[in-house]
Amino acid sequence: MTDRDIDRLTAAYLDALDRRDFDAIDRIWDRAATDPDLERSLHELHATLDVEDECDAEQRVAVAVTEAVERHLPSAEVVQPASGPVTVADVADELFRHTPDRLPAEAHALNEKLRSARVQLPDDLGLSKLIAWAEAKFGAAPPEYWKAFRQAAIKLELRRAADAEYRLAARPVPPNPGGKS
Amino acid sequence: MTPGTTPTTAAPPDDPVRAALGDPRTLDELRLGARVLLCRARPGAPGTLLAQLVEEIVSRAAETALSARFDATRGTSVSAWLFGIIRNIVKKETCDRPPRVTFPAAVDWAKVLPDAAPPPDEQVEAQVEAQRVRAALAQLGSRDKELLEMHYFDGLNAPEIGARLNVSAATVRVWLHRARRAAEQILAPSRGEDES
Repeated sequence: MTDRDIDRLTAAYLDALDRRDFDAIDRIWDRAATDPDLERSLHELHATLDVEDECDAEQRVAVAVTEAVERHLPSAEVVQPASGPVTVADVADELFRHTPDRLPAEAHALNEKLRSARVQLPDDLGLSKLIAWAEAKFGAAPPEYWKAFRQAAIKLELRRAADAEYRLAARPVPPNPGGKS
Repeated sequence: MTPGTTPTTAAPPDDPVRAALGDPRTLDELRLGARVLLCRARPGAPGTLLAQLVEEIVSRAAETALSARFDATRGTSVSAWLFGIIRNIVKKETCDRPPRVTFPAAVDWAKVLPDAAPPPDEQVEAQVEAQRVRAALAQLGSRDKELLEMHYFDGLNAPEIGARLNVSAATVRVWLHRARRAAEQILAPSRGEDES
């Protein structure tokens, strides 16, 4: 059996699993019973599907918990584990949740717009450079908004770096066969 | 031995069923297969219940296998035969959930494959299918688009795509399956699936 044949049969198998069509599943396994390559491919498919199913189950639990917290504890903040570089949207979200006092209306309007801007922050977070970069990309805003934006950006960068260090320190240590630490 | 019980016949030393059931790798494969079937037969079931059901089903399958006769002369694989017993148990356990009624696929994917070589009267049809898929590709996410292009238009099989993307062939096959579903949703958005 060629790899292309196995591609076709595994595609049919995945369709049959989706449809809960046990007759089709049985037909494919009947072929696998006398074809070691197909049998191995089906077992590998099961292993891949199982990993996906576990991820789906974890996501379902996370969504259910988040929804329950938002419904029953409206003043609580659900802190999602952050990964990757800090984006403009992350900073705008932080400002939305912890809005500084006395921001003018146009600053709120711009912040709302920035909550969907998945653009990575520049490396240099100096105030003048940040303002020049941000206004060229997103338009003008009052200086107090950019000051608050910069503070929130630095806070998020530091928090994410600390989280990454914590995860690195907390990672499981592989067993040392030599017994030396 | 408990009084009154019949002594069981000692299994031959080369009993393939006992050997398979004593192999942790085979047992893991059986557990994985049972879990995959159960996840689809009982979607949304809690993980602890699934784990419990899997252990129960594998243990019942082992009992059945030890009392049944495996015909080694037919040249079939013992683990595939054991998984057949698992499937039968899952089928019985989940007979309250009939197969999902689905519409025929929006695309005949077999025709889109470059090496399908359909007879002349079907070639036009195959070209039309390929054009429809190409039209849908533009609306797909980059990974789905890339996978379908590599498989259906560049003629690469799953192991070849896996080597390019540094993932296993099984992962590519599952990703391709999801990409096909996404393309079908674009090509026939009004077709739903009757979740029974």
